[in-house]
Amino acid sequence: MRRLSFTASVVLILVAGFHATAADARQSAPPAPATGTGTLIVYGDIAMFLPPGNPDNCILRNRFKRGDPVGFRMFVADPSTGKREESAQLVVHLTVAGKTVDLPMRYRATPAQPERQFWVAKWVVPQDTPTGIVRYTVSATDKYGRTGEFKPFEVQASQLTIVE
Amino acid sequence: MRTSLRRLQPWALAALIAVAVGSTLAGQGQAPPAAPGRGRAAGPPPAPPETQSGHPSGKLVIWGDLASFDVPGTLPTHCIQTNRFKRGQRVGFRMTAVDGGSGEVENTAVLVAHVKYAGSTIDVPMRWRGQGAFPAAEYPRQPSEMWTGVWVVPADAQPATLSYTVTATDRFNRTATFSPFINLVSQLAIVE
Repeated sequence: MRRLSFTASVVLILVAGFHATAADARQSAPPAPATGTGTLIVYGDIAMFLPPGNPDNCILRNRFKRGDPVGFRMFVADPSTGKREESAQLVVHLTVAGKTVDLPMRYRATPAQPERQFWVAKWVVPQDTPTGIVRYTVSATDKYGRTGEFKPFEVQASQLTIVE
Repeated sequence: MRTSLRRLQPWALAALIAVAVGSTLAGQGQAPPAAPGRGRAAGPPPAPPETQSGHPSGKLVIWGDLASFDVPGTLPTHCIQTNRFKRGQRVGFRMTAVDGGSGEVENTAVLVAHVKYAGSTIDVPMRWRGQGAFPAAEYPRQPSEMWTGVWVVPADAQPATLSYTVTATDRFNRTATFSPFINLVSQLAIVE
């Protein structure tokens, strides 16, 4: 019995040791991509870009009427740090009535408003735009030649939509 | 060794099995749905997602937005994007989690939205939509990149702007926090 208990203890220790090793491996720091490698992570939303002071300026929405200013707000994260990639250049690509409209975005932070660390672009819905969904993506490129792309969630009701 | 194992006492066998099972389940990441009102697919916990090769790599990054989760799904306001909600409306949090190095969805991430309301923080667990049923009328495919959570604006809520964040932890113990863009007008707001 004593020998049996000893054997069981050894087995238990071995299994527990393996268990601990596996857990440690899972918890070890993940390998970070080398600087300047990987794919940029691009994300953001759309909002109403009315003039400052208007109570509806910058409210989130995805339904716009003709003449409404659609605002795109985006952020670009470096995949190895998760932090903003300052050198990124972004372009919104809208597919409207079978044509692609490219909108370059500008970095919003200024010396007076340094906290606005995101990129913006505005598209005023043309009067001849048909009602319905307008697909869009946002592409980004940085100084290392890395690229990234944003696509909105694939939910019909949430797409950028032109309404009467 | 084989003889010893064959003659192993029940307590030792039970301990071995417990350790082995613990080893298998540890770090599987995706928490099963636990809170009510989290969507139409709520039910028994789904099986843990499969391991994704090449993960982890780089940072865990999360992002998302707000939408009206009004029900039923046939309502014209269902799933439209907004940040203004009335009492009784269902605030929908939609998020995704990305393995930074691969750029792929990190499906083991467990996300929780934290809403500051009436002096306290309400935690809203989020559900990964890569498993279970999904309404084909709304989604052209399984929304495997999406996590969702719902918070219903209390009937006695006062008009206010609320702040919220979303946190995530994955099976590799990577963590991430999301905060919406800082513009005040875009924040989650309760309106009359």
